[in-house]
Amino acid sequence: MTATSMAQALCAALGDAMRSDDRVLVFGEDVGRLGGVFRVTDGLTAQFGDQRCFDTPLAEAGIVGYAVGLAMGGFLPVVEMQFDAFAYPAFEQITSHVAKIRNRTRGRLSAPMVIRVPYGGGIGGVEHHCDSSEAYYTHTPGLKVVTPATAGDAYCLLRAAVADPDPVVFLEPKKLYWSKEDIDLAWDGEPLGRAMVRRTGKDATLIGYGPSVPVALDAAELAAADGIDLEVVDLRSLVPFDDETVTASVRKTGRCVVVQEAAGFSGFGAEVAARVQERCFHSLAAPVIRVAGFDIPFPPPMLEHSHLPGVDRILDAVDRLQFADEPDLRYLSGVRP
Amino acid sequence: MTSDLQLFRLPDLGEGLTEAEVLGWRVAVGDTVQVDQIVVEVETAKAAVEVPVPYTGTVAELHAEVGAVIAVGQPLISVAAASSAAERYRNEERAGSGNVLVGYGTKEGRRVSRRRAVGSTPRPAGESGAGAVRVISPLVRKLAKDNGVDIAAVAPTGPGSVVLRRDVESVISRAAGSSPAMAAAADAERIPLKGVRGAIAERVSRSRAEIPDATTWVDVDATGLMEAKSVLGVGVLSVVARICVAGLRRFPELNCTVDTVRGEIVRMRGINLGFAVQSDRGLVVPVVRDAHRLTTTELAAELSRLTELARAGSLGPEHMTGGTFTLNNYGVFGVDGSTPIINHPEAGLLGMGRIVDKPWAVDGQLAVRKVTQLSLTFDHRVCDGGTAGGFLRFVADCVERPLTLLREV
Amino acid sequence: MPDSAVQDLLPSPIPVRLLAEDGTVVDCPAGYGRPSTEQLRAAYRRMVVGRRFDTQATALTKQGRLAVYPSSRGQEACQIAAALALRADDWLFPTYRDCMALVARGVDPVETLTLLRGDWHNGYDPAAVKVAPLCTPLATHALHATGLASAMRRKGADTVVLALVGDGATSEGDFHEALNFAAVFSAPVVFLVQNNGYAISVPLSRQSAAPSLAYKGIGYGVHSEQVDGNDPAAMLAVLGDAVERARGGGGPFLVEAHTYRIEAHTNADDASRYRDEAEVERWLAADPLSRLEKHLRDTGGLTDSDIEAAQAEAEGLAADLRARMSSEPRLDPLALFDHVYATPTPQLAEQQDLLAGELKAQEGS
Repeated sequence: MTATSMAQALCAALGDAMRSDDRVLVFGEDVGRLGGVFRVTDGLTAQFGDQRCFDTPLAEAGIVGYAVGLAMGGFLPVVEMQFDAFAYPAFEQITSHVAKIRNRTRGRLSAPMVIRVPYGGGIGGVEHHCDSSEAYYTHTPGLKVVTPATAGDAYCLLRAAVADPDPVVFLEPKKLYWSKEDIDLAWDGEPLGRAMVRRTGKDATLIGYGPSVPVALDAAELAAADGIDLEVVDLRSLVPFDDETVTASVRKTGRCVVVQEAAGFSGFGAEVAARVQERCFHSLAAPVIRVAGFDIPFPPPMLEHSHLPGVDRILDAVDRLQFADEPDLRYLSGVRP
Repeated sequence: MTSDLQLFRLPDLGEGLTEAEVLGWRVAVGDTVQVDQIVVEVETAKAAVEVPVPYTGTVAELHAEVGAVIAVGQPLISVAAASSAAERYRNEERAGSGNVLVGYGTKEGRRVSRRRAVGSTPRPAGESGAGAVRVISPLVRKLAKDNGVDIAAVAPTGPGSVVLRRDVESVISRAAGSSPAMAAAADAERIPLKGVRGAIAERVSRSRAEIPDATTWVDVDATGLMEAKSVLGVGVLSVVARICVAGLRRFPELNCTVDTVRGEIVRMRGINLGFAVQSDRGLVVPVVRDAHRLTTTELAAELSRLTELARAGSLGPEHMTGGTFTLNNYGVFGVDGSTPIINHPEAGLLGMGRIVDKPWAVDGQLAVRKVTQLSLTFDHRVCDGGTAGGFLRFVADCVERPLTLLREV
Repeated sequence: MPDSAVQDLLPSPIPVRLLAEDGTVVDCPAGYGRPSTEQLRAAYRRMVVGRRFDTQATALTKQGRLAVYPSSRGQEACQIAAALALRADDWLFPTYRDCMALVARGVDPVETLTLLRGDWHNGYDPAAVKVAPLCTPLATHALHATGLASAMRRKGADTVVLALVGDGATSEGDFHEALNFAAVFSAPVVFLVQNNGYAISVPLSRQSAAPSLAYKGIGYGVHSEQVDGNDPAAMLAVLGDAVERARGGGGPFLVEAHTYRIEAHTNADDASRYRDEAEVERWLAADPLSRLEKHLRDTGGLTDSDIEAAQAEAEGLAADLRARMSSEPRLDPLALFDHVYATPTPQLAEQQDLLAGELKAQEGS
């Protein structure tokens, strides 16, 4: 067991994937000689040569479109979009082709590839470097979307993504790149699609993914001191969504809070809340509450902490879960809380 | 109203051929057509081709008969364009867009009916007709429903008029008649309310719930009754029963039932007198049918017979139905008064306590007499205190001076 | 880069032409040799069949058998040259206006038209015929073509990829990125720009201020050429040359063919709103088919019976197409959930059940 950071775990996953499958190609901006701006591709060119890990021109649509062609030709591209917002030029290639080519050709052509995107805030980054763009991808049928919250998961989810016959948008919470775990990196071949209960509890379920998971766990620890026992579910896979694990948890606890960094309106958390409401309605003792970023463009670094959901906002939401047979007053008309 | 006649000629169907035979018309004169609607099938070379018309309007004329061979460029069909704005609008609305740059375009018409619903059509439940009722959670709503509590009738104590869990729970426990604490007690023996016990429970609950009853009572000097019974050689109950029957003939208002469905008091002509017997199986009320036709002796004999049957547990349903009034001699338990429960759906019950020596005023002097307490419970819907009191006073008078009964024979 | 190398990248200043509009041979300063008579006869036959296919598809659209048909009438020389320049193991990346090229390459005509019929989005097996699906979002397939070309080279094959784009598509960012990637990675891909003068209604003058679209190539270091797109001989010569040079490791090529779209953008477009009949007439006089026919007749390369045979083949194809397109295709709604992923997700299985229930209820009502 060694202390491994998420970035190192991702790098190890790429190397192991390239070693086990000659078809895997890693490319993007600055991934070759530099090893990636976050060092996630560090050493790969040295190990495997510049035919297998290489730099491209600065053109995101080009990177993804080129990858589609390579996939058509039998290769397995693992491309990097340098930052979340810089993936937007590639949006058409991703939604109109990567997501659809299998469907368009009734399965005769497909695009098995991984698009790695560092995302999320919490690093004091300037504009365009902290977006959470998962909702655009989860809303596109044909794509799989996954996001690890731990170094261990970074390794096995990336291995699974590379092995997946479908295209995967792999969202890497950049604020966790440097978080370390004592872990032996391993992947047992499990495919994508399963959520995990990170902390069992009986009073309410916190559902989060990526950078929100450690925050949720912190909130749970604080709540325990107040005698509230929170269960924390790490979704890991946004698409395919693990209805089973989520439903079982909320039916058990009867209460649910969904946490995300992204702006709340029309975000992925809305899908989670809708599914929970539909499937667990009769078990619910309180409304399903979402804790999210505000509906604003991502703020400057100096105001980031007012925007991102922290333990306080999460625990305020937990307080609204009607534990004392007192209704949550926030939206009750005619009543001043 | 002017109308433009639009002439459509047989188009070049791309075959390089110069003529076609009309196989069949798909429209008739007077029909409304839209752009691109197939109007005719023609045969060219070896294939049949459907030809769409490029106009919207009403078919004015078909220029070729079925079987006719016409040349490319010859008249095929004339269509009168709709000229009034309203008609044009309707046509355009129905016509749809026709081919658009990228595809077939919108279709004409809209189906505005629903195909048969999949599964049963859910109808909103009665209580959710008060869909405005705010309940703290679906769980609590379900709790109410499962316990037969009308959520709209629950008094909400939550802010914003939200029905809380405790609001529903308190309604449930009130209905149950016991505090939840007692019902949930672990240190208790549980006996199911079924069989005779259950039937009785149901009966008396129903009686008290439905009948607005009142009770009136009087202490009576029963010395005369005791002397009469010795002379007649029958039981006390028999004499009282005979007095009761006489009283009901005097005051027939008490020999009724209330028909709540039709909103009527039903006055029974005959008197079927029920009387309470404590058997091993519990309280039973056999009925003496047509007691008004029986002499005291016959009444006594019937009471005896039925009592025997009751003690033996051999009473059948035919013995226990059809009563119009009930007599209950709970004095055998050694008590004086009670608030008896009417034997639903009757309108009255006469109860008699123990007969014991008690100080009494006789001609102004203190004496020791056999005294008993008579209680009459009556359905206040069928009569007022005057009638009830009158009946009870009559019975009391007969108990005190049995000879006065002779007036009634 | 030495100036001569730079000059080498530039296109001929005048579009390459080998046959005049009247079919007579002209000198070619660019030095391209005329294709053989065999090649020209083959091209002629394919052009006759291709045109017939195009007019039949147009008619079928008027009869409601196709949802839409973007015609390539007038561009026969480009379409057929694109097909004939490729080997069977090369790949073709078409747009929605290149059905004629697909049919010339041997793709079944009905399968070619599947998308335009409103049937499934693609009707043929791309891997089997080595033709990518008809691409609608303009220029996006140019990147795919580049990627596939690189993939083939990596595997050591000498196959070439030919991507067809229009004049409007050259304005799209993906066109620029594709040429750039192709040049940087030295991909064996040829980009044929069919400059037919219009992007729907927007004329070339509004599309680009470049001397001609072929001059875009030098910006990326891509060898470029411009050619008279209505001259079948020049098209075969130039395109054939570009394909072979790419095949030999010469990197990507950009060929601009000057041609004209005789029909409107699609059947539902009213071209009279943005161009006049006189212009169309002028280009009809430059018809590629009649030019080639005249040339071959004059040089003894085509007999009457050759012409009849070509027309017979054309009519046969048209009749077959009419017959096969006369019935409604039957699509299974429940197949909507296939091929979204390799294996349907549990959520998709649920939704399929829902639709199955709806269909069953419809049956009953």
